[in-house]
Parts: sequence; structure tokens; C-alpha cells
Amino acid sequence: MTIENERLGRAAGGLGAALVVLAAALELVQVARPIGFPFWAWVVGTLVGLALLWVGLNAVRQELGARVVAALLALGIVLLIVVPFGLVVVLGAFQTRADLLTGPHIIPPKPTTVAFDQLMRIPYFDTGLRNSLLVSTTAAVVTTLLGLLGAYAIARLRFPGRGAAYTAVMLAYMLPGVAILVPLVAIFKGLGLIDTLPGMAIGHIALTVPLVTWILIGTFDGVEPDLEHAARIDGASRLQALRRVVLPLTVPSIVTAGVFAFVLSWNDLLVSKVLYVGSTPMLAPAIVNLMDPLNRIEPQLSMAGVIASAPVLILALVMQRYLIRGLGEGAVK
Amino acid sequence: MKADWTLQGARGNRLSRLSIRRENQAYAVLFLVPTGVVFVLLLGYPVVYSLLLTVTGRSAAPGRLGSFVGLDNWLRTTTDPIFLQAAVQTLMYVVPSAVIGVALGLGVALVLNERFPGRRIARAALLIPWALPPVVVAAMFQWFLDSRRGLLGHWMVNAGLVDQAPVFLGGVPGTLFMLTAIHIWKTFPLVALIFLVALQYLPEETLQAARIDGASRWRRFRHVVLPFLRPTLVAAVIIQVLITLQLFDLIFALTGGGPGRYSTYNLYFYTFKTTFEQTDFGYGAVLAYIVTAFVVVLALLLTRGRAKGFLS
Amino acid sequence: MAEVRLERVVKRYPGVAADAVKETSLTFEQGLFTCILGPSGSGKSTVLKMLAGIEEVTSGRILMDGIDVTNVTPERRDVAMVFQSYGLYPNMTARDNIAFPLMLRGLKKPERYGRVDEVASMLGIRELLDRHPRALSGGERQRVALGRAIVRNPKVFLLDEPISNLDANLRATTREELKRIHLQLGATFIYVTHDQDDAEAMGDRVVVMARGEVQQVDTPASVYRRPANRFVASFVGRFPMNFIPGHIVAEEARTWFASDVIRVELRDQDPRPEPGPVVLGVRPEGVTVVPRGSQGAMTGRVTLTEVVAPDEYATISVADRTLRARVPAEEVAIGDEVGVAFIPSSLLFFDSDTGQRLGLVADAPAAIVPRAETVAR
Repeated sequence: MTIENERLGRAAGGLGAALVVLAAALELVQVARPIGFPFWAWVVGTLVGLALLWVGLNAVRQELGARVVAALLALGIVLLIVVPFGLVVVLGAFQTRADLLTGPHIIPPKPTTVAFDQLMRIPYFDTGLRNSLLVSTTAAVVTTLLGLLGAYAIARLRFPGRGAAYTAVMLAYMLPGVAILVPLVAIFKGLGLIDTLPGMAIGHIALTVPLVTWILIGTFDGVEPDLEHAARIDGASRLQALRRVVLPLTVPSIVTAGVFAFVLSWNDLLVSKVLYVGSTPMLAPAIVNLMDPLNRIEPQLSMAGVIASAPVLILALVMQRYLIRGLGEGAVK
Repeated sequence: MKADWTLQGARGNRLSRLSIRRENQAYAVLFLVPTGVVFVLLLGYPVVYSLLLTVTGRSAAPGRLGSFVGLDNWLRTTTDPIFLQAAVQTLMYVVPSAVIGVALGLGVALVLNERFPGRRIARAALLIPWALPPVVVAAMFQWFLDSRRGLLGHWMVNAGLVDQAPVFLGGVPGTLFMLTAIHIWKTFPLVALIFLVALQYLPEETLQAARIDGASRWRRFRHVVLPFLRPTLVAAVIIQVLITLQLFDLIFALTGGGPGRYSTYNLYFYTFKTTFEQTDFGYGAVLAYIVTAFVVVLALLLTRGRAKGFLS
Repeated sequence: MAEVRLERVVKRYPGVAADAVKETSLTFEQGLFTCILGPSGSGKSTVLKMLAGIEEVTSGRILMDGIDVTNVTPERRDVAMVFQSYGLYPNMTARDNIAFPLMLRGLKKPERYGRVDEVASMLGIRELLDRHPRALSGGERQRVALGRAIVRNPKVFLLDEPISNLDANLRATTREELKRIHLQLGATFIYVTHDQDDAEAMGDRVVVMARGEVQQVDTPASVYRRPANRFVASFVGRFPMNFIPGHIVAEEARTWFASDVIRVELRDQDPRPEPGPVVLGVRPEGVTVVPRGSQGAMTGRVTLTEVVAPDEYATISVADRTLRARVPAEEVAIGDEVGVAFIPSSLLFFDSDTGQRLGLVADAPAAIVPRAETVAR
């Protein structure tokens, strides 16, 4: 359905916008303090408004209606993503227990950071946080180094069993953790690594190495072979060529791989829990502990969520361009 | 002219003095050993060891193999009611996640593919559910969906949808569906990102040609965009299934497998329980192998499909 | 400068039936500009890569100045290479690109950059030195790549189709410049290309390769005028050669080449040429248009003309055959009935089966006798 007349289109668009905004405002009020605005009214109002916007604005300028509606829908999507996280975690973390008991408040009546202090006084959380920081950073760095070397060898060197190595990396990347954990625990027990920080780090390295190696094989495959050839003919050893030509070119990708490793390690629950018997708490199991109804203290749990999310969210924000490309192309390529 | 520029001097390093083949091999050894050690010791050996475990009985601790019991553990899967339940429930997780997750992801990608101000922020927001630790997602939905103090229930009452805040995480099979919904919330943005990147490769000219030919938006979608995205669609579905098969953190943190005894179990979680809480390593290894088999087959399908250009 | 030799070099890829380079022995004379000419898949780039050390030799030896370098890693060979894609380091400026080999040899900055400046002046790219490769045009990048090679003054220059990505005008001027650089430096140049214009313009020697085998090694003129076999004859030369299959026949004391459109008397040779199937080849320059009915001429009709000033190439139908002749421009028009004659010194003969050129020579003009049917048509 299209409208030819531009003025009519503008009017329709304006009407549509008004409808959407009005319906949204009324529903928002209703949800905070019931005023008798029925839910279906909001649904109908929004749908009709969007339709009017689309059709109307398309008459004003081609595709304008589509763009505006898309923008509004995008707003909805962003809200869908951000609201559960934002409200519950962020705001819950900064209220007092008392306030939380009196029912959900969207705006904290008395914003406070007391939950943070209380949380830090819980030994397994405090230690867990520190351990996780240590382990995930170490794992990310070590894994990236190992993965780099292995990936370069598989991508560029010719050796017997190269195809097998490539398949091995691919299979390891797909392996679910649970398949290897029991024997891994057996090995660790034998080596005395159970429940130790080094052991936890090694476990996380095992967890992340396949992924990083896999990513970096793709990266090195993407570098033009002539570049390395030129460097070697110019007199560089393979190592020098790596250092001076290949690595500078692939740094963004390597860092992205490292970030993937960090996120994978930081978010991990299974390995962290299994390798923990009492001495090496990690963040994820600590949060599960805090969720137990026996231990649950709301602002603290929310604060824990904030703390646990902060590093990965900041990384995601900073590296968004590379992460998006890496995640998307990992599936498309 | 510059005939006096005879440059000699050290070239390369010690390894450069080897023959071409040996130099290649030397670097191969140097570079592969560290990673190779990790792979073999921490990944390869445990996989083989696990196979051994599948044919042993209950053992007191990992590291001490129980007695040989042949294929008993494997056969147990055919008579184990929990196994069956976990398998069925796995499907109940996987199918909606794949269908709804991918559909939603596609829709979001199409919306975010339009040009409007703030598009970049919306795209960045997609990273949030992916980045968040699953346990944090669990914690946050636990509160959000709490029947007494949860915001969602409160809002639903106020909005007039229900008279009383519903119990989200307590019923059977309601809890499983809620978990699926939460899982979809966490994963649909990743699917959307995949589609967004794929859409970048769609040539502008094809769309413009269609527009010039007078095709409506729906027509353009059905006849230009959708065929182009078909390989990505298949890939996205496979990826969703892969991720959902290994769903663990949400189940463990939110319900521990309950309510009841096994109502939110999937095969992966059942494997965990068998192995680490009941310490039945033999049977646990069997379950692990079954889950792994599905995962590996699917993943091979994905990469083989890509290699054959079928999905490229 | 150095003499480069391949001794019985073979390159085989595992799992591939045909060898990329069949057993080849070649000498690249020192100080000369040698072109390796051939179509894609002929193995020419593979030979170059083996000379550089970036491909392993399956069997055989490579010697430079008498030293066996077959298994020496590329960084220790005294060769420089210019790639088709230039191979410039994207993360460095042009200056640093050119200085790279010097840096690897431990030269200090002032000295490095001094030499870079000299080379850049020689190539006319001094103003570009601070730019990165992505900010340079194709021609500019190619000069930087050249500069990087020149700055080391190596014994051997290897060039892999370095100008094929440039547009036609640029190619012509670059050829001149490359030749000039060659004369200035006096080094051994080995240049791989599929474009015979390159070989003509710059080559002191041409090595023609096809399907992994060397077909002929000679000067550009000889390759053109005395091709070793049918492949070389048809590959080299801007316009296709005319081929007429026929037989050697012995008639009393004389030997003739006989075909369906023409007979050619062959000069006496010792031993006498054996009777058998043979193909006559003649380039358009060896085919002329003469007045109809002239002594020894065939008759045909012009079906197509192509002007390549100052000449014209006419396609002429003679009996069932099509011949291409070179005529002065605008001398004939489509539809004209003309006489077609061969210049005896331009005639080449090839064995029907092997394609090898036979050392048969056509006799003086009067020896060409057209078959009865072509006359008076």
C-alpha cells in the first residue's frame, strides 16, 4: 500500500509517530503505576502507529518510512537486550536490601555502594575475583602465544602430518569440555595440580588453545605468501620475516583472538568448578554460590554480576569492530 | 654505476644455514612442540582415556580404573529412563532455540541492516548478551523472573496481562521453556551478527536492480535476499544447535536440573551429573561420547559444507 | 653478475601426475637479460621460484657462479626478486621498504637512507619515499619494488611478470627503463613473462617454455625467424602463422613439398629429405599479394582486412584454405580476387608428428609451382 501525495504522507507519518509515542508513554506509566490503560491498547496503538509511519514517510521520501520504523524497532531490540541487564544488575547493585524488599524500584531511593564492600568481605568472592583475573589473563596471553606458533606452523610450514594437525585442531575446537574433564582431573591429581592456581590456568589454557589456534590459522592463511617470500629473498630469516612483516600485519587479528580466549576463559563455569575443591575459587562458581537461596543477598548478587560483567563488557566495547567481524566471519567464511 | 655496492654480511640466523627442507622442519618442530604438547597431553590423551573409561565400571576416583564391564555402560543407555528423558528434553531445548533463535536473529539483522542514525550503537549492543558470563545472565534472570520480587511479574500485573505474577521458574515443563527463552535471549544477537556480516556481502547492484524492476520490499526479500542468505541460514542453524547442545551454565545455575528431579536436564547436564556428582565415570564417559558425537558430526557438517562451497 | 645454471632440474608436486618442470638443463649467461617466455602453466614461474629458493627442487642442481645453491635458503642467496604483485611491505614506508635489505645487513640509518636516496633518484621516485604502499599507484609500487631489488646490487635479478598489471603505455616506458637499468648495472637478469613484447624489447636471450619443458633457447630474432618447433612458431609472433599440411615427395632428381594449394621445390640436401607428412609454415610477412596470374602465384579472394598502420593484414581464401598476408595499407579491399605468393626465404617446415622444425629450405622463387586447381579460379 502506498500513498502518492506527499502532504498526506507527512500527515500520516506524524499521526503514526504520535500514536507510537503516546501508546508507549501511557504503557510506561501504566507499568509503573496502574492507571487503567489496557495492554491490548498499547499493542494496537504501536502496530497501527508503525504502519502509518511506514506508509506515510515512504511517500515523503523513498525508504524513509522503512528507515524510521527500523530505527524504532532497533530501539526496541536494544531495550530488550539492555533492560534486563541494566535494571536488574546495575540498579539492583546500588540499592540497599531494605529498599529491595519494598518492591522493585526503578530509581534507587537511596543509591549506595555498600553492597560492594560487603561482597568483597566474602572470602571466596574476593579470592575468586582475583583468581579469575589472574587465570584468565594468563590463559589469554599464553594461549595466544601457543596458538600463534602452532597456527603459523600449520598455515605456512610443510611437514608430514600437516593435514592431520589441521584436522586435530578443528576437532579439538569442537570438543565439548565434559568429554575430557575426567581424564584431565586424573592427570591433574597425579601431578598434584588439582585445586591449584597453576593447575587452573593450565586447565583454562587447554580450554582456549583450540579456538585461538583455529582463528589464527585462518589469519595466517590470509596473509599474502609473496610478502614473506620477498622478505626472505631480501635477506630475512623466517623468524625475522615473521617479526618484521607478518606480525605487524596480523596484530589486530591476534589481539582479537586473545580477547576471544579471555572471554571464553572468564565466562567459563564447568572447568572452573571441576578443578576447584576448596582452595582456588573462581568467579563463575562464586556467583553460582551467591545465587543459592540460602546465600542470596540481593544487592550483593547484583553487584557481583556487575563486577563479573565489567571486564568482558569493556573489552567488547573497545574491540567491537574486530569482534563483530571475527564473530560474523567465523560463521560466514 | 653502483658496481661497488657489494653487500655481504650475515644473512638470516643460524637456522638459515640449513638446507631448505631442514630449515622448514626445524621451524616446524620449534613451533609445533609447545602447542602440540598441550594438544596431546591435555586434549588427545584424555579423549583416548575417556574411551577406556566407557568400558569400566564404577571407580572410586578418577585415575583408578574400575573393573572391565564390556559394553554394559553403553547398553545402559537403552534402558535408562533418565537418559531418554534427557535426550527428549535436549530436543526441547534445541528445536525452539534453533527455529526461534535463527528467525529472530534474521529479523533483527534485517532491521539493523537499514541505515539510520544510531545503527552502530544498536549493533554494538548485540555484543552484550554474547559477552556476558552465563552465570551473570542466570543471576539476572533469576531476579527478573522471581515470582515475588521479580520485575517482569510486577510489570505484567501492572500492564494488565495477568492478575498475579506468574511463577516463571517453578513449573514443569514451564521452567524448561523459560530456560530456552533465556538461552534464546543470550544467543539470538550472535545469530543476528552472523547475518549482518553475511548481508554485507550482498551486492548492492542486485538489490538496486530489483528495486528498479519494481519489486516490493517483500518481493525483494523473498527473491533476492533470502536465496543469498540460504547458506548462512543453514550455518546459523547448525551453530545454534551446536551451542544449545552444550547448554550447561544456565541449567546448573538456575535450576540445578530441577524442579522435580530431572525436568530441566539435557544430555550435557546429565553427563555432568553422572560424572561429577554420582562419580560414575564409566557411564559418564559414555554419555560424554554420545554428546561429543553429535557435536562433532554437526561441526564437520558445517566445515565440510563450507569447504565444498555449499555454504560459502 | 653471475652465471646461473640449472642442471637436470625437475619439479614435481606430490599427487600431481605431470611434472611442473620436466628435466631441464639451462644456462643463463652472466650479464645478459634472459626472458623466460611461455603461456601460463608452462613452468616458467616455478623455475624462477626455484632459482630464488622459495620452491624446493625435486631433483637436479642449481648453480650460481659455479656454487651449488640448490638447497640454500633464500635469505642466503645473492638474488633479488620483483614479484608480479610487487610484494611491498604494507606497514612500512616506501623508504623503509627499499631500505629493508640494507637494514637486515646491519647498515646504519644514515648509510641506509643514503643509498635509498640514490636508488630513488635513479628511478625517479624520491618524492614518494615517505608514502605507504597503499598510497601509491601500480606503476609507483613497481618502482619501489625495483628499488628494493636494486639497492642490494645482487648478482642475479629475478623478475616475475612485474609489468603485466600495468596499462599498455606504462608497460612500454617501463620496458625501456628496465633495459636501461640492466645496461647500467650489468647484472644477470632473468625475466619471466607471457608477453612476447617484453622478450622482444628487452631480451638478449629468450627461453621459450611450454608444459614444463624448454622449447627453445635463442635470441629473440632467431626465435622469431627460426622457431624450433610448431609451438614456438605459433606462440611467438603477433599474428598467427599460416600452416599448410602436405607431404615431401621425391620426383626424379628433385624433392618437393606438395600440398593441396601449392608445391614448393626444396633445395638439395645431403642426405636427401625422406618422404613423409610435413607441415609448411609461413608468417603473414612471408605471404604477399601479387597480380593475378603471376608466375608461381596462387589465386584467392580477400575476405577480411585488418589495418595495422602502416600495413594491413588481409585474410585470403585460397581454395579451401585461409591464408593471412601482409600488404601495404589499403591496397586490397574485401572481395578482390588476388594472386598470392610466398617468399621462399620465409618458408618453414615442421614434422607433422613431432612438430620439430626441419632444416628444409625452399629454393629460388621460380620453384614455387601452384597446383593446377588454384590457378584460373
